[in-house]
Amino acid sequence: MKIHTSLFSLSSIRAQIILVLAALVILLLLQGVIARANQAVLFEGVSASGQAITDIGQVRALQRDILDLQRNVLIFRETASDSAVSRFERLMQAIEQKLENLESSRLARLPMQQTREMLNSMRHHLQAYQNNFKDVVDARARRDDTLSTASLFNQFEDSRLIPASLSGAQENAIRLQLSQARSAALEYRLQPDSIHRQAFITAISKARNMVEQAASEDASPLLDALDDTRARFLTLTQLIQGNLFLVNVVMAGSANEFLYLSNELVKQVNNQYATISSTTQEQALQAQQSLNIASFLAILLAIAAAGYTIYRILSPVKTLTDVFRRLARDENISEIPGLKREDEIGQLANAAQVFNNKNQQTRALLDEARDLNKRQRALNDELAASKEKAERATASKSIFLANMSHELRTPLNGIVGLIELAQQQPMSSVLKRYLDKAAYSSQVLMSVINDVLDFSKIEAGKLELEETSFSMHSLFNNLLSVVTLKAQEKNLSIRLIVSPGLPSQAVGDALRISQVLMNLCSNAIKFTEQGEVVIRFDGEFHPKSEHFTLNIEVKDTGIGMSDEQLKRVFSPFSQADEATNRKYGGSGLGLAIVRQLIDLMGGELAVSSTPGCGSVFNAAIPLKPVEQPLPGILSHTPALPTGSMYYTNHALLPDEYRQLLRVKSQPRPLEALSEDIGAPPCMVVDIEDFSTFKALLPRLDECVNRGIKTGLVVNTLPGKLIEKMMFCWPHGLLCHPFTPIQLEAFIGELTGISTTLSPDETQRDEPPAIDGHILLVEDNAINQVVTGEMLSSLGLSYDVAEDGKQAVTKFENSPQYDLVLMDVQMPVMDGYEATRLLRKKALIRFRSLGCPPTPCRKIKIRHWKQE
Amino acid sequence: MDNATLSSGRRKFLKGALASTFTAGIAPFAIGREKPLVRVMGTHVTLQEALRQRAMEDLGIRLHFSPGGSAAVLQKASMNPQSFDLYEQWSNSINVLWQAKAIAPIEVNRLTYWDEINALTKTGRLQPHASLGAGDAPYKIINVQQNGTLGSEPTGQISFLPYVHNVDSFGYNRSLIDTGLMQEQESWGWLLDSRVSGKVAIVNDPTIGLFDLALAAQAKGLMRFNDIGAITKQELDELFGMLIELKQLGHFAGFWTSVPESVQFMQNERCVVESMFSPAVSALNASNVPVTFAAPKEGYRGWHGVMCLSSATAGRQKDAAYEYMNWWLSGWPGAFIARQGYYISNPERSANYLSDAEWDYWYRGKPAAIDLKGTDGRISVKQGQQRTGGSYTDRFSNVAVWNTVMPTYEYSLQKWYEFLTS
Repeated sequence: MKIHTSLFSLSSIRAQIILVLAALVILLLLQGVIARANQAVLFEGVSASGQAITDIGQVRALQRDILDLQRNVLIFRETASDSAVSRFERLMQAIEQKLENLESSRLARLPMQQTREMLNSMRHHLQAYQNNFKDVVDARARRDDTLSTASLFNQFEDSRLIPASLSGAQENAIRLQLSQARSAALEYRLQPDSIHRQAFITAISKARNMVEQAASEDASPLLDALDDTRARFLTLTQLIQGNLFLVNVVMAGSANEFLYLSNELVKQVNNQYATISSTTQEQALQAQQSLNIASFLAILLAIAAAGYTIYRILSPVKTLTDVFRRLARDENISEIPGLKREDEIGQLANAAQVFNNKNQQTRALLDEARDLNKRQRALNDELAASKEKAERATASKSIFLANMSHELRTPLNGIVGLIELAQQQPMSSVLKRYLDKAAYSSQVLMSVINDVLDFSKIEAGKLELEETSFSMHSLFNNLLSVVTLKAQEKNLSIRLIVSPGLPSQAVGDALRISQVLMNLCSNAIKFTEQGEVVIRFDGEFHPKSEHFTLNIEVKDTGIGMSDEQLKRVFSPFSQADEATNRKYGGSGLGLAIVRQLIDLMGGELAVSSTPGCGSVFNAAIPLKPVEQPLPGILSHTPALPTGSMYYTNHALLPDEYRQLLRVKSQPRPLEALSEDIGAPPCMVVDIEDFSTFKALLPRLDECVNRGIKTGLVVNTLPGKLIEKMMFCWPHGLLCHPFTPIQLEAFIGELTGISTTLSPDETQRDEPPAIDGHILLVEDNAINQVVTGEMLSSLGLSYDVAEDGKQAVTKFENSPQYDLVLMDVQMPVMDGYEATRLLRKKALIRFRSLGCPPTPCRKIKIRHWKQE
Repeated sequence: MDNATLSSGRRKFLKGALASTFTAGIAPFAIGREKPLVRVMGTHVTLQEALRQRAMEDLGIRLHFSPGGSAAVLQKASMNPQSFDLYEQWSNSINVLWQAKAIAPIEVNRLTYWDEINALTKTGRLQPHASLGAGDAPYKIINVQQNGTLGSEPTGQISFLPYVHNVDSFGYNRSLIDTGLMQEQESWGWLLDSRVSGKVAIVNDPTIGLFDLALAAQAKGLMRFNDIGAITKQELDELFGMLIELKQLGHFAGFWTSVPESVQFMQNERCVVESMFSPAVSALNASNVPVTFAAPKEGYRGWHGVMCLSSATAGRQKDAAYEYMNWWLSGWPGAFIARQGYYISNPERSANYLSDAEWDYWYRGKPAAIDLKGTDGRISVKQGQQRTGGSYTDRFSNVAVWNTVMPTYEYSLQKWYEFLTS
């Protein structure tokens, strides 16, 4: 409703403009209509005038024709000429035609009734005129034919008509009378006058009287002739009189009346014409006046509209435009004109008002924002300062840690080394027991310090990952050598299961991966009292990113963790709970380091656990493959010969490995061994424990003796029992935990196909037989002693350099060293600088041990080796 | 419908049969013979359709009317008596017809109502001091004389049956005529008065109009006639000399040839004063045109209708013609024409067919007691109106001149032509 009123109310400028325009249009239309009407009136007037002129012409022609008609009538009366008659007829036709024309022309819009009456009257008179003329012509013809004056008296020429009884004198007297009558008749014809008629009648009467008096007999023919002549003369006079009357009175009257009517008609048409002309003029004048008024009104309206537009629209719009411009320039507007108007200008003014308010609000907001920004900047500055402070602190901490690392490890290395050296000396059992305990304690201390330092280093972001090619086999060997020992302490069963497709080599930081594995496995062993720990390796290749993920699963049957404990398991300095801490000891940093290392390598770590049942740790570490795609770690493993059998009660070989062996038939229970086993070419038997072994041994030996290649897969057993078993069973034996190489060897033994082993692996089992001269760069005197003793015990000779500079000098002077063991932190020149200089001079290659030319190994790394 | 038509026809037939039996008596009537046909030639004044129907109904004869212009019918009748049985016109045509022997004498003893016919056609005077009137007064030409001429001596044979007659003058429109003129006593002189110049119409007939103009000229004192009933050539020359002068000055608005035309002249105000016949005055009054039929102080112009028997008619046609002549005087036709302002020669018989008011108004010259209707059924006389000129006797005692064919007739025709075309 409000919209409606605002759209159509007269206060709206739009409505007002539309109204004004509509009025203008109406006025223009009115002008057009008036002009058109005026034109029509003028046209009608002109055409009516034309019609009137034509009509008048027609009537005038009619009058001329009538006069001509009368002329012809007179000619006929005088001469009785035929041409006058035919001319009369033609004129009549012409007049008739003209009358018809006039009738059809409507006579310049005279009232129909009047016109018709007049024309009818004229026609009537004309008709009468024509009829009368016809009578005149007829009468004239009769008169000429039968009643000529001559014929009236012809009969008297006949002498037989005169009675014989008449005397000559009498006859002459009669003839005189007849002659007088004849002359009277002639005179009458010349001049119709009753005197002549009377004379004729008198003469005839006298003649008759004479005849009657003179002759009584045979006079009748003459008397009859006289009577006949008299009658015929009277008829003649009658005809003449009649014609006179017709022509002079009736026809003249008709013509007179006709002319009068035609004159009247002309007069009326003229009047009508004058009326039309004056009416037309008047109407044209009126129309002109109306037109003038309309034009005047239109001009007035246009001026008013222009004035209105300027006063009410344009100037307010200009003012408002100024207002808006000022608003745009963000100037302050104190007053906005036209706010009280209800039309569009008012709306614009309101809009300007809104703009103004908004501007003010914006300004307020801007001020506020400036304040906030100022505060923000202050805060930011504070923050930056804090950050700097923190960074400085962190840097200090790092430096402190690095120093601590060096300062802690150096003496501890000395202690450990010295204890190791001491243990090699002969001593009493008591002393040996003490030294062993001291060695263990120092190992624990070293481990804790390493953990703390590593953790700190990682926290400080100081840990850098290496990217070198490494062998999976060495990884597995190192892992098992440590884990087996620890597990044996608790007699736990350890399983290492490697996916056959896992590449045997990869690029990454092998040291940190080992650290992760050690920590996870140590942890598993630590919290498992009985049962087993299963370690699985699996590889997942991602062709797109050209790297593969090393999946590690460490599963134990230990105490497990609650959900609450799981949440905190990777947090530093925390174990599952205080009780656990007390029971199992440890720094509580192991899993935190694992987490940090895996994060650092871009891998993933997950744990799931059931309290009382055990835990499963899964780590996924992305690794780059070595350039060429390597075959799987067990891809060269041969299959067992067809028909080979597998005897087991509880399969000790995991599914992956069994598929590798390709034993077609279903595993059979151990009891089946005592039955007829047939003659399989090959046979794998699971041995659960030593007692089972002892029980089955005879039967197994029997089988071996029958030529059946027999291999035993043995569960994890204490070291002593293994040695005993190996002694009793010199054939294929695979004891858990085993590496893929061991598996391969086992299968090779069963099948008789030996697989090519890498030199590294072959050397693995050999005792180290090394020979060389080593440059030991070490500033700490105790460490010099310890390391020197160690090297000597290995049968190696060595020189000592006190610092990096000395080492470089020595190397330059006598570059015969097979290996340089370089400390990092040293006075004068540190290990890094020295190594760099040496490498620059192409004197050394920074590589692993025993590779020419002289490899350099930083002593720091040796700590790991020792571990 | 057919029944109705039949019965209507039979009723008329019976009525006619009865009428003929009682009125004619001697008329032989035989079933199976064709009814006799009577051909009547004449003017519109008496050849009216209502009369024809009534006569055929009353008489059981057939009637054929041939109305025409005065001159035309006169010429036709005078030259060809075989073309008619009865001829009805004015007394001024009698001489022509008689001399031409176109008409036969009428036997007075065959006229049933001859004795009732008043003195006008017998002695010429309705009362002792009445003026005889100039010109051919009817009583002078009605009797067939022994020598074959027409005279006033009764012989038992007459040249015409006297029946319709009247006195004429001029009429004027009271609302248009000059007031000064109207206050004067009515006079023929008004026709030539300068105060009505351009508004005067005259009947286009020298035997009638000439007398109007002659009376006017004499009344105006413009000239004096020795005998206005027999105007001489010299007098005609003098008269027409003045008239032509006047006409050229536009004094005359027109010349009418028929009664309807005269009505139209007055109706469309073409004229204010004109020669008039009585029916025109009735018609104009009926259509509310205030026209007065003047009673000029100089006396009226009288006219007498004549009914003539053709010299060629004989036998049954002649008998039927006599029946028709007798019917005319039997009362009803006289009453019928009385309502048009005409008089009949035996008025008393017609009085039986008129109301007292009608009789008083039309014959006795008294004011109309009530509105009076004309023959067309319309009111032609309003209550209180009075005929000018007084009673029948008064008017016919004041005839200045009768319509006459003068010896200078042919000459007057020539002068008339000059007058018309001038």
